[in-house]
Amino acid sequence: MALWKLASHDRILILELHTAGSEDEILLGTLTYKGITYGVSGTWTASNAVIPHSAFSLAGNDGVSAPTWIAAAGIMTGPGTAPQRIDIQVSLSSSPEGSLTRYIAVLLPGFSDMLDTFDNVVVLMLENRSFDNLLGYMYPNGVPDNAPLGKSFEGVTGKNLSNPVPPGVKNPPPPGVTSIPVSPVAAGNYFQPYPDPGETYDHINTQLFNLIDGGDQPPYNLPSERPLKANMNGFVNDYIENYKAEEEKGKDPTYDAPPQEFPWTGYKQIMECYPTSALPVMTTLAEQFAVFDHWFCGVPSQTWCNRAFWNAGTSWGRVVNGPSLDWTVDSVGDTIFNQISRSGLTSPLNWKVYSANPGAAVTSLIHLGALLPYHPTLPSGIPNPFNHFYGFGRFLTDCAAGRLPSYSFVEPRFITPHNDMHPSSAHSLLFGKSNVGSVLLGELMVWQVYEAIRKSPNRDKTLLIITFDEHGGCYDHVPPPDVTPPNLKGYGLEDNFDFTRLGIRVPAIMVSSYIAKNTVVNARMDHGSFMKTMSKKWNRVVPGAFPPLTARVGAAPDFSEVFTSATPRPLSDWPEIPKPVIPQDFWTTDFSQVPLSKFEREIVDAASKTPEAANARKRGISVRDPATIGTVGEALDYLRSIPGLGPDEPLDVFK
Amino acid sequence: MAEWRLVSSDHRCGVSLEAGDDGPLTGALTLDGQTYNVAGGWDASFSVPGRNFSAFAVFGKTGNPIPDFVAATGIMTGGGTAPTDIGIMLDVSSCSDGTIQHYEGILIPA
Repeated sequence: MALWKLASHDRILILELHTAGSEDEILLGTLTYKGITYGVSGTWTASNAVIPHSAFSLAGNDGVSAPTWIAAAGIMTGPGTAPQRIDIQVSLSSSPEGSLTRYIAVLLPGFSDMLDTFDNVVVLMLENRSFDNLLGYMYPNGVPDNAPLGKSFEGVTGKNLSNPVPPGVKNPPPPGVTSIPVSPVAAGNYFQPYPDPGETYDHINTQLFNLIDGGDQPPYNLPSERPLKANMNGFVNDYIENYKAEEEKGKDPTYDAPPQEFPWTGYKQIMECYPTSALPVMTTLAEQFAVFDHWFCGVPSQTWCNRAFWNAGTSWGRVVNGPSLDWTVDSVGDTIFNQISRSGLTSPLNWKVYSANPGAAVTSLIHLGALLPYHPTLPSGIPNPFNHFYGFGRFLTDCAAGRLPSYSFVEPRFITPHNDMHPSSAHSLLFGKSNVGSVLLGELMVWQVYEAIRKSPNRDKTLLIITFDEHGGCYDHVPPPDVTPPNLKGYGLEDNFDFTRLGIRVPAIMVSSYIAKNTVVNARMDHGSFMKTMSKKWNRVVPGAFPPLTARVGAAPDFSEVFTSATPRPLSDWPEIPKPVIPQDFWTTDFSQVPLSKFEREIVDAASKTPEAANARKRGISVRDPATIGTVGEALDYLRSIPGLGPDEPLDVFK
Repeated sequence: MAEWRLVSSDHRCGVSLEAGDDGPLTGALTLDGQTYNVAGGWDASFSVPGRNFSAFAVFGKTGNPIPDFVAATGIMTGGGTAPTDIGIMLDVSSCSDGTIQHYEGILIPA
């Protein structure tokens, strides 16, 4: 029996086969194409004095319930025990998509998936932006200069993208205007779209299919016969509906607003995407390192379920953030944090959640049951020696000292002044006198995380992932594909959603010394790709400790093709990016009277369901009914009245 | 068990496959007069959620002393017992000259 292990130079195709049979004529093993592994079998004939060339063919599939099939024919050069080169042509047929795809490559031995190039992974997960909204204007030529053949960039430039204006809209556009094209956000606007678009499952169905039927009741705006590809035509329609129903109850948005009517609230803005000049930190990192242009969030819905998909591979059938009491029931589900903690006393792996959110780390609430043993304090109120939750300041000092854990999950600040990039709710006044917006504040946080890693002694052994939980109602033009659902037996399906399709594209940027400039990963990824890749890496450290937590994770592609540089780049090739400038008066602005957004209210509500809150109520130190809380100041007072729920740092940590 | 017999309009390519209910495919594939014995598998559309199309893959070789190998994938439209068309991609690697040839087309009932 011989083993063939060869890969294309960019590791888009990896072949791992062994020979079998009485004459070694059978081939068994795997083909990995764009991060997805296919089990294959085939046959081959070796060259000899009569047969001039060694050739083979094989076929198989990816083993999921809605499979993609793969077949390949090739010519092998070198001895059967140690092939020196394989010329291969591959075709794939997708049962979810109905598409046929072709790929040609030369495979060579001696490859590595390069997952050993990092010891520490840092994930900064921001909030509620689509790929097009933040990165759609990158690479206006549709591909980076000098990109390898076959590479592309799925942005907005040159595509003539638009959404129709719904007929009968109360404040119609100018005569003759029936659709709104994609256009750039105006310079100096860091809070577009304002106010916040719809982000629950029913709203996203309208954005995808341009149908309003049922709202938050069946059929949740889902067409009776769901088209195989969403038309992505309902963003304007849904923005108007959400504005009337949620943000400015009973009022109709205008088409546009004159510049003096600051902030601009016209419905045409939902089709606006940020020019690269507005996001110098994120777009520089995306260009100087790697950007994924087909990374889809896990669920076409909200924060909690999408963050759960990142760290647990499921949301246990849940589609929306509330009610928080329901989440506390299912949040006992296993997470990647638990897997690391269980990996053994001799395991070198460890984790920390670094939260910039005052008073409560949202990760500790989403996974309350699973992560309660790791909260800052024990329910009795004494400090927990097994605490894994820290503030953002601790991230900066750990990074500087070279003390980052194997997995750092970094949360932004969700409560106003929020730097999570989440579009602000009506009347949030985040822009206030300082005119900053969550996008500019988010840029600053991305800069801080990047700079901390750039200056860290562990820079060359750290992988930074900057991504978003969900698209949050912001426009995107790529229909989400179908996908393998997680294991849902025993869970109710909220809003009748069966989890067989992904959410909308989100930005995903990776930074590593082993990623070449202008890397674009076109392969389809989803939130399960993180756990899939880390499982592959960490199972080598602690064999068997990281099985896929759900079928969704098992079927997800891994992202190892992102490592495109065999040698680490020197510090001089890590770009020095100017620090975003925040107007000085921002730091002294009083936000305490800002009305609480829905998302902020959900955090407060979830915090009130924790054992820490119950203990504080019992001790009489946190007595307020959270339902009566109406402002940011009251919310912060309430969260701070619950000892040990989470880190709490002054705003200065972002300076 | 159903039999799929389809051919391209120019008669360059054809399949004669037996499709089992539980997924196996066996039979013959012809290209430019050369016949390949093939085996593989398929999945019927809409038999489980998300499986929106019938898809398959096969591999095999000629019976010649110096064989050529074939690998093909396809999307089948119509019922599993009577396909109305197949979109097919196939590649042939040759032991005799070391080349790989590609073909793609639409097959219709013969």
